[in-house]
Parts: sequence; structure tokens; C-alpha cells
Amino acid sequence: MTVSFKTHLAGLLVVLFSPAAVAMNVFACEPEWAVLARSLGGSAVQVVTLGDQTPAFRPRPGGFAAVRATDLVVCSRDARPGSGLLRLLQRSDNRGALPGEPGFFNPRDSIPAGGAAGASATRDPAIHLDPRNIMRVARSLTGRLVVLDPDNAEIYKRGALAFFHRWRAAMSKWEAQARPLRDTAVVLDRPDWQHLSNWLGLRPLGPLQHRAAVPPSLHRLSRLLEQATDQPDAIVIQTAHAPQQASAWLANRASLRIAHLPDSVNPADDEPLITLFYTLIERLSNPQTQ
Amino acid sequence: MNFELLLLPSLAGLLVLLMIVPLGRIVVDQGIVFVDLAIAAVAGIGALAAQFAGYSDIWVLRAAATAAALLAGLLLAWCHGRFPASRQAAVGAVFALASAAGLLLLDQQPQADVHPFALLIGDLLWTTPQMLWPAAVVTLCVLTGLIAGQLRLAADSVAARLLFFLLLALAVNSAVQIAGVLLVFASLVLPALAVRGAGAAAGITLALLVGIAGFAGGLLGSLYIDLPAAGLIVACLGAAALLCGGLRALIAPSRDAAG
Repeated sequence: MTVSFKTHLAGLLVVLFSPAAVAMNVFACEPEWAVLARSLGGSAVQVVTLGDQTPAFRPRPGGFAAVRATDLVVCSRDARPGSGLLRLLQRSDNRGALPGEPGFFNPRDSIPAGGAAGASATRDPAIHLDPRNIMRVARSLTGRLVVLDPDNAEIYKRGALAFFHRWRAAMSKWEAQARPLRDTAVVLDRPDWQHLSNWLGLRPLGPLQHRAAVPPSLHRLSRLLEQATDQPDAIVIQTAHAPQQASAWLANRASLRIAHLPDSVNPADDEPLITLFYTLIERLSNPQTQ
Repeated sequence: MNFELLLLPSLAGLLVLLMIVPLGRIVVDQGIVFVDLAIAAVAGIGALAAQFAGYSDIWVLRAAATAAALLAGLLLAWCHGRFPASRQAAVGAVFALASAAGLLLLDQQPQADVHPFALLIGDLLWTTPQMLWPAAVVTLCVLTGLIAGQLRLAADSVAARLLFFLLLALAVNSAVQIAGVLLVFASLVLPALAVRGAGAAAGITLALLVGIAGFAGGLLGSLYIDLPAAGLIVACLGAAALLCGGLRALIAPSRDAAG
């Protein structure tokens, strides 16, 4: 569980000096939503996350305690029966935070289904890699915070306005910076990376792996290699938390450049969400030759 | 089809078979087939510990894994002599403890994206020429050691036992880095089972042929059908072993029953 000292201190100061004590405990599964909730809720929310960013998601007893004490669970990962998340929610015995209740917020519900990305977008959990989605999620998350904690509605609305302002300004900068990337051929190292390529207008040559845990076949590798030889400017995308052997192999064989991309925010950054997109565009614009 | 893609994986597969299959016969005869899992788990701890100490150079990590594997070989050799009645259990204990230690170390690793346990279902596809040289050296050591030592564990000499377990540790550590635990386990057990009871020279030749048939079938299959190579190779190894065992039973049923 990562609750920074600063957050503790902020929480303490709020308790000591403001008429309304810290009202909302927010539990976020993914670091990007923790950052967003902090940006929107400011001093009115206390946000905790699991330190675990890996897709495997093995909750520990600390996670149960955190969810039990929470007013709002924000999780975009799979919450279907049998998933680690649903087990965590059920074991934590916090009825208000089960899926379908107001205390459970799935950012993916804020994203319109279908559209350009179609069915794959609903399966792809990495919705936070499209800043337009962050905007959509921010809007509905603000709404949820206001519903759950009407006393602090003003704080949330002010926080949201400030966030939208910063975000729009940053988005127009990113889009200008990323214009040369449009229509660049990319080889993705995992199937679930559609949102980023949709937003930037990248042209995916098909993922190296069609299932996250299953290594690619020689058949697939051979086909990708043929495609890649026609496109010497293609970029191989290596993402954190994905095996790198296949992507390194392909880049080496086809003499392609590699962009090593983070798959989420680094909470230590000053403005983690904004830094994430600058980093993504910067690394895509300057891929490394092997 | 891109047959050139098969070159390095096939060479790597051949080396893995040459170092693992001859040892597999002894391992199966001794009833300690999980010994490779135990060695791989301890080797993984070695690499993790080196990472933990701040090293990231691949050669340092490999050296640490090899050192840990050799230590595991010593430990297993001692267990083998000390607990003759419960050898498989001793191997299992080493495996369980090493895996647990690996898990605990992994948890303390801030950047544990690529960890040795990911090697569980490795395959041969990522072999580079630089990986083949160390494997070739290990293969040479194992074959020389086996021939020079005339290994018969049944003779129960301490020196023979020690030599066998050290060679096994070297071979398993090297093979797992190329091929992954699943393929190594299958290469150790399946060909050896198929030739149980056969004489030394004929048995090893036949077992190698079974292994080669399995690897060739799996790699070729993965090139034509969109299926992961590791799974196909093991399936083909199983088919080749069944076929070989079946034919041997038909030709000389009494021998097989005696084995």
C-alpha cells in the first residue's frame, strides 16, 4: 500500500484546520486512477492504492483492510466473477463498494462502447492511454464524488475545473507534438494497447502476442517479419510488464527501432498523468536503434 | 515459409537434447525426475539474489545462476546419499523451499518485470548465437564427464554421485536459460521413458532420436500452424515417445516389462 508521507501530512492538516474532516476514503486499483482522484478531490479525499501494478493482481491482507475502510473503489480492471478484484471486494465485506453499488466506480463505464475501436476497445483495459478517455473518466468520477459526498461538492467541482483547464491545454500540445507520428507503423508487444494507437493514429501491424500469457508462434513471427521488412520505419513498442524477448527478437531481425513505453504513471512525478503522455510521445518520437 | 527462422532454435534444441537426454536416463532410473525443477528453482534464486545486490549485467546474472545451481547439485548429491529411501521427497523439499525463497526475493524487487520465473514456459525461439557458445561448452563438459566417469549411480560411489549431480546442475541451468523449464523437463523424462531397459549405447541413441523427432515436429508445426512452439514440441515429444515405446514393446515385450 502506498500512502505517501505528503498525503498523510495533508490529511492531518485538513483534519486539524478545516471545518469538514477528511470526508472520503478512495481506494484505487490502478495508479493512474489514484492520481486522477487526487487531482479532482484535493484535500477532500484520502487515496490509497495497492503497490502492485502488475496485471496478475494478488491482493494481500493490507488490501482487504483498505477496501473495508473505503467509501469509493475505483478500478478499471476486470471485475467479472472469478477475477482477483471481485474476490478482493467480496472478502473485504464492504457491501457499498461492490460492482453496481454507488461505492464502486469502473472508469471503463465512462468510455463509449463501439466506435472506431469497436469490440477490442471494450476488452482493452488500458483506456487511460488515450487522454480523451481521461477527460471522460474525470467528468464522471467528479459526478460520483459529488453524489457520495455532497458536503464537499464545491471542492470537487473546483478541482475538476482546474483539472480540465490544465488537461485541455496539455492535450493540444501533445497533439501538435505527435502529429508527425500519424500513420507510423508499429508492432505492439501485447494485444491490449489499442487506445494509445487510436488516439495517435498509429498503424499497428498486429500484436506479437494475441494472448497476454501465451508466447507467439513461429508462424506469427514469420508473418510479422515479412510485414516488417517492407516497412523499415516501423517501430517496435516494448511495454513495461510484458515479456521483452519477442519484441527484442523482432527488432533485431528486421532492424527496427524500439520504443520502450511506460504503461502507467510514475506517482513520484510532479504531475504524473501529464508527465505520462509527454513521456509516451517523446519515446515514440525518438525510438532507439539496437 | 521462412525456414531460416528454424536454424538457431534447431541448433539450440539439439544442444539441449545432447546435454539433457543422456542424464535423463539416469534420473528416471533413480526415480528423481523432479530434480531439474529443484535445480532450476535454486538457479533462479541465484540470479534474483544477484539482481537484488544491484547487478544487472546478464553475464553476472548467469554466473550467479550457475553458482547457485552447482550448490544445489552439491546439496542434492548429499541428500541422495543421506536419504536413500526418500529421495524424491528430498528433491521436492529443495524445490518447495527454493521456490518460496524466490517468491519472497521477487517481492522485494522493485523492478521485477523480467524475472527468472518467467522462464517457466520458455521456448527456443529467442536463441541468439551468443547464447549458443556457453551451451555448447556445457554440452561438451557433460558428454565428456559422462563418458569419462562411466556413470553408474547404482555403483553408489560418492565421487560418481557428486560428478553426476554437478553435471546435471550445469546442464539443467544452461538448458533452462535457453529452452525453459517445461521443455527441459519434457526432454529429461519423455525420451528416457521411451527407451527404458535398453542397453546404454542403443538406449541413448534411440532416446536422442525420439528427442530430435519431437523438437523437429514441434518447431516445424509452430511455423505452419499459429500455435506456441513450446506446447507443440512437448506434444510431439510425447507422441514420439509413445510411438517408440509402443514399437519396442511390440518387438521385445519381455524386455520392456523387465525394465
